[in-house]
Amino acid sequence: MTDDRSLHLKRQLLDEIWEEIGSLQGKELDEYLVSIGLVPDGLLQDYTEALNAALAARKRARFEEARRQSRQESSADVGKLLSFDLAKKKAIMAAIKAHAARTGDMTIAARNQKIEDERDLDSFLEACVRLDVIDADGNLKG
Amino acid sequence: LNKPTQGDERAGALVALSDHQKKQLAAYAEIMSRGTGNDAEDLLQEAFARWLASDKPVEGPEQTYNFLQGAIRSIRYNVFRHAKVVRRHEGERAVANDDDEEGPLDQAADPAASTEGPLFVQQLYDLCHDEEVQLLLTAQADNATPHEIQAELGWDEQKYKAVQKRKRRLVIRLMLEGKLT
Repeated sequence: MTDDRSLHLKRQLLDEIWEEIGSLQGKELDEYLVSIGLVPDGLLQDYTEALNAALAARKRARFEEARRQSRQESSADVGKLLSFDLAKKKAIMAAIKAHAARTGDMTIAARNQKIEDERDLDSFLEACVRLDVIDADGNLKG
Repeated sequence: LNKPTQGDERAGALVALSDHQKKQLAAYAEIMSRGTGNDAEDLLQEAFARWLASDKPVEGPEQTYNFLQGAIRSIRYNVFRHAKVVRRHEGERAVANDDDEEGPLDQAADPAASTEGPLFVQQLYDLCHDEEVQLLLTAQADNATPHEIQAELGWDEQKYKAVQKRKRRLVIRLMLEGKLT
């Protein structure tokens, strides 16, 4: 027998499996399933469990996508803030520190963070955006 | 405000299938998962994931049911195809690194070979001890139509259907037992 014919026969047999199972319903289906060693109610349970798992996986995927988008947006926001000139960034930092001193909203470590150069300043402002202390324009929140 | 989303509608279509449709799909997944290395629940879950992600309109239970059946079969096919690609890739690496001696890779069983028609049919012939089923298989391998088979073997339609049924059930049993992959 040629490979093509064997493959054709194999495909035909796989089609017939579905025809066989799909042709039965109700009691006849249950009896047949039992005769081949399957448990009808167990199959219903398997269906439900697989469905629940698929729905849970979809929820997780949506959550991950939302988190990824939020991170992207947040990073775009930070990019805008960091593009401000140095004087403006220093003014924003001063406003944050003044606000923190008034409200006690920041930890001492954060308030006293040493800013030696513009890179330190950028890190500080970036952290403030992520902590929701300021918005992307450097305005204080709350 | 509480209008269901499209995703809810697709999930609802999976819940809405009748019990017998659910049993048929789960049984089909059981049979088709054998030899793939995945269990039936993985196969079903992947079929559901395809349905949930699909753009195919939700028309009715029959369409959903047919989609899932096609998905289960396609996933099985992809598993074997993937195994074949991996095997070929590993084989090429083995050849590239080769020495003359036969390594474990050369001696290992060939998982992808089971996807090939000849091996499947050979396994079936070897395991089938029902002479009438063997005759039917031989005729079908020659692409004979049901009418030609009946004429050649001198069977009436009832006999043909009875042997056909025995053959289908034999294939299902052997697949479930993991003897036919």
